[in-house]
Amino acid sequence: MNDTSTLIDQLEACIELVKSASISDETRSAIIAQGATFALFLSDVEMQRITPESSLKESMLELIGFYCEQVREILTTDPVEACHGN
Amino acid sequence: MEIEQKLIDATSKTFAAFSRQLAKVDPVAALLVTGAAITPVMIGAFSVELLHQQELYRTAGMDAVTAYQALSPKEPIAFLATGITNGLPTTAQNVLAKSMAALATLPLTACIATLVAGKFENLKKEIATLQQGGREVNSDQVQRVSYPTRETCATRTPESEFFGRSLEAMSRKIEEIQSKEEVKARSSSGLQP
Repeated sequence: MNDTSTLIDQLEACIELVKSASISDETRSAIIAQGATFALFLSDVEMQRITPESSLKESMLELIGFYCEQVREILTTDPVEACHGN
Repeated sequence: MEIEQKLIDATSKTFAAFSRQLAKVDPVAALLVTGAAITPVMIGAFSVELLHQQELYRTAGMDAVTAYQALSPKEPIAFLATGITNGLPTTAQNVLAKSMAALATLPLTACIATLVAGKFENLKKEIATLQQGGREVNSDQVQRVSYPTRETCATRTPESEFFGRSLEAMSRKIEEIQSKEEVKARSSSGLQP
């Protein structure tokens, strides 16, 4: 079960990782743009500007949580080791 | 697989699934999705265009938005070509087309204002950094990682590839939303799809 305030913190942590990652600005822009869309959605839900049907809302919150987890997993793999480690 | 490609591949799939669900929430959200498909290459004019369409929706309803969208060329390439010659219905659309062609990253200020107060500080700062031309401090690191010529260590996705992907995403999303709106318009006027 995801709640919006937990996801807001999770998304912020995810953006923090993106901020410090050794990636190009093109990729960073793409991830930040997607993150901004999630942030807008979470803000709208939190402030009840939109009221999605509960199963749809739950599914969307799960996807945001999954997204943050994907970014965390990928970016916490050391890119230098991935390139030079063999 | 190198890290940037892995990141883009994984997150794009999840984001696409989210976008499909967002389109079910509300027509206003559907407009956000149209914008979201464009944002990888274009952040600033998107918000102006999005706000324009949302304002149109609020003041004149979905029919007005549909009519407005019908004025725009359907194909992304035609959209760009018309925009470059200032031939689109609004200044924002012309700016959007030109900026997409230039792969510019412009402000998201209007959207930031709607975020929950006191939250998303990292996101706001990062958007500001991108607005100011990116993160200079990381360019050395990016080059260092991409320095080996082996394919697995190439960190930069070619701009043309990003551009192509974004165009495809935008095209798919706009078609998807337009067909949804057509179905909705037909059902509200009592016609069969």
